[in-house]
Amino acid sequence: MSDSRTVSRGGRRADLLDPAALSQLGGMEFVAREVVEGFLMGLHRSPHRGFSAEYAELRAYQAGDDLRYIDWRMFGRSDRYYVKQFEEETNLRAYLCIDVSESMGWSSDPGTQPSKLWYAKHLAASLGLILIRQGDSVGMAAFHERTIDRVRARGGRRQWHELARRLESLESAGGTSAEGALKDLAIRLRRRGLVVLVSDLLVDRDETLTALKFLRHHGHEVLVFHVIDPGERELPAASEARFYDPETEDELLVSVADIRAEYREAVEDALEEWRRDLKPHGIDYQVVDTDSPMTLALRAYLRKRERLG
Amino acid sequence: MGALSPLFLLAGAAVAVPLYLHLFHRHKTRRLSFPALRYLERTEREHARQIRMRQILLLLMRMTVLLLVVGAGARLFFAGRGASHPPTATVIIIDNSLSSGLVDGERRVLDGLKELAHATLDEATDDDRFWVIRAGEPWLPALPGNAVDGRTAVDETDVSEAAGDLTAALQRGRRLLEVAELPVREIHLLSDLQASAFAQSGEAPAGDIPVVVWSGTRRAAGNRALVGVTVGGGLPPLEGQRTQVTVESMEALGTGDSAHVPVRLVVNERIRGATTLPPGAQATISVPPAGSGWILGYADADPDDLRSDDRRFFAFRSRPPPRVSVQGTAGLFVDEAVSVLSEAGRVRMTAPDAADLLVSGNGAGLDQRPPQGAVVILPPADETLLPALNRRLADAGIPWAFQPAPRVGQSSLVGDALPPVLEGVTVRHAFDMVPVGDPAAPPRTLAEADGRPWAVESRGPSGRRYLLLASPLDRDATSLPVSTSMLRFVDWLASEWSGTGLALAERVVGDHLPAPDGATTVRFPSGSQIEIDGTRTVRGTGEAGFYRFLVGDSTLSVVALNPPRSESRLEPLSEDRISSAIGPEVSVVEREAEWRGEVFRERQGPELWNRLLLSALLLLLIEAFAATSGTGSPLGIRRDSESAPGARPAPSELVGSATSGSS
Repeated sequence: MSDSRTVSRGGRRADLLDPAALSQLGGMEFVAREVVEGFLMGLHRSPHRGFSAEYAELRAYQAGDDLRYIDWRMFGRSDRYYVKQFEEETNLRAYLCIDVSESMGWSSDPGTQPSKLWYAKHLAASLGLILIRQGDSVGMAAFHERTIDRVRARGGRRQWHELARRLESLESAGGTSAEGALKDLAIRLRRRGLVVLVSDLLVDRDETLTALKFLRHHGHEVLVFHVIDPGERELPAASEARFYDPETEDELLVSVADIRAEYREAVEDALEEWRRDLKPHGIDYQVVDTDSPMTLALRAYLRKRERLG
Repeated sequence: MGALSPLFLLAGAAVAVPLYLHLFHRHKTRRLSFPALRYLERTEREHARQIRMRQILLLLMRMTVLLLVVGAGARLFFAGRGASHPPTATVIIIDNSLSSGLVDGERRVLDGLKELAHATLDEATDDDRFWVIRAGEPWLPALPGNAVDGRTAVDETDVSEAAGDLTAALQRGRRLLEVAELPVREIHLLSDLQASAFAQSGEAPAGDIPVVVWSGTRRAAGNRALVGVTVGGGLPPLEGQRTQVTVESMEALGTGDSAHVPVRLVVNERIRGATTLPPGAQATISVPPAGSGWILGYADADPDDLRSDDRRFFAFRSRPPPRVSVQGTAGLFVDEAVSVLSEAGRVRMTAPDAADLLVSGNGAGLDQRPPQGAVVILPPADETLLPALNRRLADAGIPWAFQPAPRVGQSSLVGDALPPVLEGVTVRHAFDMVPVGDPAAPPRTLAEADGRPWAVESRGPSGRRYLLLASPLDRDATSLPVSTSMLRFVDWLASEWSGTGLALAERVVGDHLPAPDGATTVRFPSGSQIEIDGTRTVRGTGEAGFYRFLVGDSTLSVVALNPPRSESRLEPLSEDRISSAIGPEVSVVEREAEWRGEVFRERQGPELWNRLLLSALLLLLIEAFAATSGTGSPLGIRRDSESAPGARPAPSELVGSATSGSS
């Protein structure tokens, strides 16, 4: 823990760390907390930060801060200006849908590169912590061909610990059927809320789209994190190989040399198709590479959260 | 195509390795876990067939590379016209015999043969060795040389008027090549393939050496020739006697030619008679008496396409009859022969001390022999008389002794210097003639029977000639007394051997001429003169005409050499006899255009190893490019996202595996 603190205090925020380095820091709760705190520390200087009626913490006054929020008591004690920061009061219910299919457990470089599932779980834990700190309720559903774990949406730090524990226990297995999990979620959610899907989207495209639109139809906000391994964007240097899908065991003889460029375009086309198909329906779509810092994903969430008010 | 290291071709079996790997080890292609297979499927379906095609292409390229390397190791070369050939020992046999002088169209046959020889030499390389054998001049040496030397020899070749013995030429060529250092050997036979030029039987003279045979001129041609001229029925006319000359023309050989040929008889450069002769006929022309001296003449027919056989020569010396004395028991047949010749005026009987020729039976009269005459010594039929004969020989200074010998059956007389009158004579019994001292002059064996001397001549201490015969001239000992040769033999002894004259024994061009005693120079028909060497034998008689033996400027004797009759018969060798008459490795060429392509049968092109290796290298480069083409950045850097946030190099190699979600 002292190391991690050192990392944070040394000016290298955990949310900006490379996931490969981040995975070396410790357990999920610790990592998520470090990520979130680093992320929030960065947000303190952001004009997008909101205020709520519930006091949360103090911070040094900065030019432009509202004078109404200066803590005069602290000024009397320390002769320095501090601004009281309040947690925003909301009643948002967020559900984190985590894809734990076999493909999510894949890493292009298992020695150093964390798997997509690792990234998804830690991203979900970080989001959950942020949501809970903001006073929202967070629930979780994990699925592959079916929903395998579910946590009801609640608030409070105990809920986050529960979320972290349940996320920690998830392992990749089976195929992928996001449709069932999302529709099941839509049926179970009685109040409109935020649904965050974290998946590699190696799913049946039409069915998944239908399910997402179904959620929107029920008034839920939807944020999709498309987790992708860099090894899925770029084919390896092998000249020729037999590639097989770990979920379906389908096999394909590929001459990498011949299709490298076409494959790259195919991936970009697929991502663009997701973005193009989701946007008209108000579904936010964010591609997150497992070799990129989590702050990118968290910022995407923040943008979404700000729009929700 | 050929290979200089053909055993290396066995390495070509290595092509089975890539084939085996392709067919049975394809499953060893790396198998990688890759969840994003659906992205691959979007692009890869259409490439699957290309991959299989490329695998086959790579397989073919690898097999081709192997074959190219094997071909380079085997030192392949392309055979064919215009290509080079390995260093070859080549014998060029040019048949320049009399028949090669036949004018065929606008040129002689020999000229065509020489052009073909030039074609051979044009194809030669500096490493080839050549021997040029002239079948019509077998006495000329065949010296090894390069193509330039061969060309010189060919250019110097002209028509000989001698007979061509192609069987002997092929045997000679084989012997030359058998000791040649070059491993590749070949004989080029350039001839009109006259049937008479080959021996009737015997093994293939060329053996297993390849022979390229020109048969373009192998066709029958009509020929009219004079094949015989006989003076005085075979006995030279004597001084003051009228004589007759009989001229014989060759029969028409399947041509149906019955036209008469005008014939003229020229004696001492004056036309003495003329007649016409149909094919295969004889005509006799009377010649008036002549004084003492040499009579030279010829019968001359109108020229045709083969001109060398249209004239036949004769020469004899008109002289008084030689004086002959027979002493002792020479035998009935000798006595009768001398008596007949005496009655015919061919010889005169005289006392031993005045005789030009003394015939001594059992050594009788040796003590009286004339200082200038020659002597013929005949042994007795009774071997008990041999000691007496040997004593007389010793007393006369003749270092020979007769010894009894067992009868060995019948054998023919043979010998390099065998007088024509003794040809065909057989011997049933002969004594051994043993030298018992050093002769005054080297003895010369004229005839052998069963490997032992039968007729030996030499000179005694006084320089007089003697001739020893190993058999008595009776029916029990030899066939000579009862043959038609007996009379001619005695006449030959009296007229030719004794040195008193020269008989009209027919000699043909190419014969070796023994030089008469005292001759210092021989003048050839062409006029060239050659000093007589120690062998006392004139060789290289390739011209028909008169050969004059001279002592200083005086003519000692004259010999007429005539074209061999066999050369006038132009029937070609039948096709079915070519292999047996030449050899089993015969390649027959009938068209001039094909000659260059047929000679040097071990022909090879430039070695291809450098081109094959270069091709293999290029193929390897292509194969390497094809096997790894399109990899672009080996590190798999995403070019299109290098500037994107969070972009980093992809793993250099995908070792995808499912890992647990809990890192």
